[in-house]
Amino acid sequence: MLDTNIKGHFIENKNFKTVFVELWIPYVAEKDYIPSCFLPSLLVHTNLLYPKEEIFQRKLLEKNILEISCGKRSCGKNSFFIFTLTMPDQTLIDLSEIEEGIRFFFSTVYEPNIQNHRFDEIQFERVRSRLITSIHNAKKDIDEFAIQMVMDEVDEEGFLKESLFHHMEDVQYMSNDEVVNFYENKIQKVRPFVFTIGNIEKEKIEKVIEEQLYKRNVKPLQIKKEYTAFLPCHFNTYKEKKISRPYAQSVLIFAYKIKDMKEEDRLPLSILSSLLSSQSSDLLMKNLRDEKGLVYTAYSRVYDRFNLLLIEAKIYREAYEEAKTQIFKTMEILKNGDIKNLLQNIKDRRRVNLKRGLDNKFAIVSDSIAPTLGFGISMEQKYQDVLKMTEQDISNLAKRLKLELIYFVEGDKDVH
Amino acid sequence: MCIKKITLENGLDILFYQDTKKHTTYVNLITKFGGMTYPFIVKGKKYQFRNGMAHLLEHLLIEASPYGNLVHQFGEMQLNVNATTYINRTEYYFSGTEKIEEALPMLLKAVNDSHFSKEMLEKTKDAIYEEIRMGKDHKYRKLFEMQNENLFHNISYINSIGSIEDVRSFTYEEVKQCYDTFYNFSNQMLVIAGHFDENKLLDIIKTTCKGMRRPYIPFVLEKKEEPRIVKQKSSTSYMPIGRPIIQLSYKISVKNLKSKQKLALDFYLIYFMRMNFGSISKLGQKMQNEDTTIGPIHFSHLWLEDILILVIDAISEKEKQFITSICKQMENPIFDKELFTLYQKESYIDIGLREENVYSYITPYLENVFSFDYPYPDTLEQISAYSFEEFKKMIGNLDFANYTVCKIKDIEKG
Repeated sequence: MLDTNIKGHFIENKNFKTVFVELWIPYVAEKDYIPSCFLPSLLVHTNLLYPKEEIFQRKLLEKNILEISCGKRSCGKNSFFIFTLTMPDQTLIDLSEIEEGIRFFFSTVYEPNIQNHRFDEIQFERVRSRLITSIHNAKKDIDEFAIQMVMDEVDEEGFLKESLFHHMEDVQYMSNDEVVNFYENKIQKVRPFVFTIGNIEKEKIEKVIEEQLYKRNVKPLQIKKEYTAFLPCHFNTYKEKKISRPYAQSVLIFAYKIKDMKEEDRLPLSILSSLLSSQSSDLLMKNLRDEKGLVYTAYSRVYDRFNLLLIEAKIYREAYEEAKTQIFKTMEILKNGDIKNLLQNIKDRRRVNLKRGLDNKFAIVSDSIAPTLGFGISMEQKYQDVLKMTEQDISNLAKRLKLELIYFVEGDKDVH
Repeated sequence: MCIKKITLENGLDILFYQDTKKHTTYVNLITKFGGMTYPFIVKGKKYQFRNGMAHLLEHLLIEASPYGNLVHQFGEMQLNVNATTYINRTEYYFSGTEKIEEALPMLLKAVNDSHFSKEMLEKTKDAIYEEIRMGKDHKYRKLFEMQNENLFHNISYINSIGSIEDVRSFTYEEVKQCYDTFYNFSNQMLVIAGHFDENKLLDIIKTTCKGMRRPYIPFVLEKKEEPRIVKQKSSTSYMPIGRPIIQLSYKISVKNLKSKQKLALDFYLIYFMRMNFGSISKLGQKMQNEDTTIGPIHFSHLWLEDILILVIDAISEKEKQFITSICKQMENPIFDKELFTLYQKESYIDIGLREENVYSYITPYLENVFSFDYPYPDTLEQISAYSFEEFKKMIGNLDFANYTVCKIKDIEKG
């Protein structure tokens, strides 16, 4: 079980001039995916005190708040709403202004524009309209469309299906009341994990955050550390599907899963993906672009929590067979294990990334949050684990990869 | 911290921006030859090429370098590397925490001592054809092309990448002519930022340059006067798209403005557009409330030497209402003094925040150099000098009469 009885986490860093305050509110996702999609936009453009967006925006400027944003993150059976406040630090504004900004931030998250158990109707309809538009756009965008079609085929369990793509009707008919219920029951009463980073006076900021949490009477939520949900392999041989659409480019996607995926396979799977498409190795680009001139770009994506590796190549439709051959050839290289130098490159890259990460405020934030919440280890720890990997480990994993699907979105427009 | 400029005897400008708190070094070699090309005269002979030449050279110099494909070479040295062709320049850049001293001469040689062959040229074109096809499915790239086709009479610039036909047409001799004319040290700038030993790097640069002969070839650009009015008032394209997008692009002559005035106007335009069309504006809110737009209005601006292009777009199914509302607002814009003061205060903070990382410091500086011919970083003193009265006056002097409307609609509904 995660310990939610924590005051806050402070990462003092004088190398940047921004202060971040992040609230991670855990919730157990049930049949409330659609209301959870409405919520972020409803919570960061207004609040009860400033219910009109133009006035709210002006207040942000007056209070030197650079941004208040909200996003969601799902890990296995757990999900988080993440609210972020971004402000300049004390070298640019007064401490009292930062304290005031934090109070405003908390009031935005915990006192939203809800009256008579309804979000503001105009704001609510705006959000609905934007969500509907995003579904329409996703259906017409070649990349989003292709990925969704692949997910439909390989994710029968629905672990990765968190997408509005197939939920047009649900969005059209979602009620204001239901979204308010979701907010009040799952978000408003739950104690957040609070992370603060920047050039800050810890004691003073801590006091403001404590005061805000106490005022809201939020209670910790005990959640299980179940962050992985490995997709099973369904087929012994792969399916090959083609669909024609009015695009100039075509997208070719290979979907692989590992037979009997275990927790310890996650790291070699992520290294295998780096061998395919990180700049330190770039096997896909070498085989598809340099050797044959078939693509502008080809890359892999790994969903290591879910047991899925996708290889994507943007090609001209006539290059279909040749591109397939080159991808198969690339995967054979990994199986043969002739990758000693490339693996060393990946290890060196991870070492360099540790140092580069010190210049990146977002990397510092995420390197602190993931280990605290238990869904990841620190970059340093990960690097130590990577160092232990051998080419044999990667080759053994490559041999266990099962190709489940080759999906081809064939662009039928002629561009010569 | 400040930027230090050194000019070598060969004409190469070097800019050092040192920040010892950082762990990463960033190197950017810039050639003043970009996607927008003009006819040029060398030794009495006139050359004129189609769109995409600078971008083709960008690919060629990296992919057919004396070291092989530089992306892979640098990648294996744990450096992040890339190149970008802008309207007025091409940038070749890498960053890393080690092997900088090894990589720097390699970059200088790859860009300035290339011996590409006919075969390499043709091979490089294949990947570009795919890049062009990829762009054809991108709605905002399409809008950019439509805008440029509609705006200009005498500028042939559509985009930096060109069409497949354009790229296919380039011969080895033509590419070589462009390379020899524009790729020499006196037409370049080298930027080094972050953590480094200045003396050591300067020695390496000098030694590397000594071994390369890139003679300066005098050339004259043949620029024609561009009329104030747009070439075409509107156009519509059809492609797979969820909801229609409408864009108004204003063509404004800024011929009479000096560098510093353009720089001030650059800040004022951002204030002006946010004030009148942003989420803080009454119009922006009204348009969303009345379903004239779905989501916010987007806006940006682009400087093309003496022409300023102001772009306003939104997702909208009520095109007439959208166009009328925007034009009306441009005729009678809002000038809010209180908001001006708030934006000015935000700019002070922004200047302070730029020191957080070397990219956010260097990028606006390069914009000052290449868009306004103003080789200085923005300062607090400069922002303090901006006034509400000057803001009103400068915006008031802009002529918003010339605009083109570009629309993209769904191919299935069209």
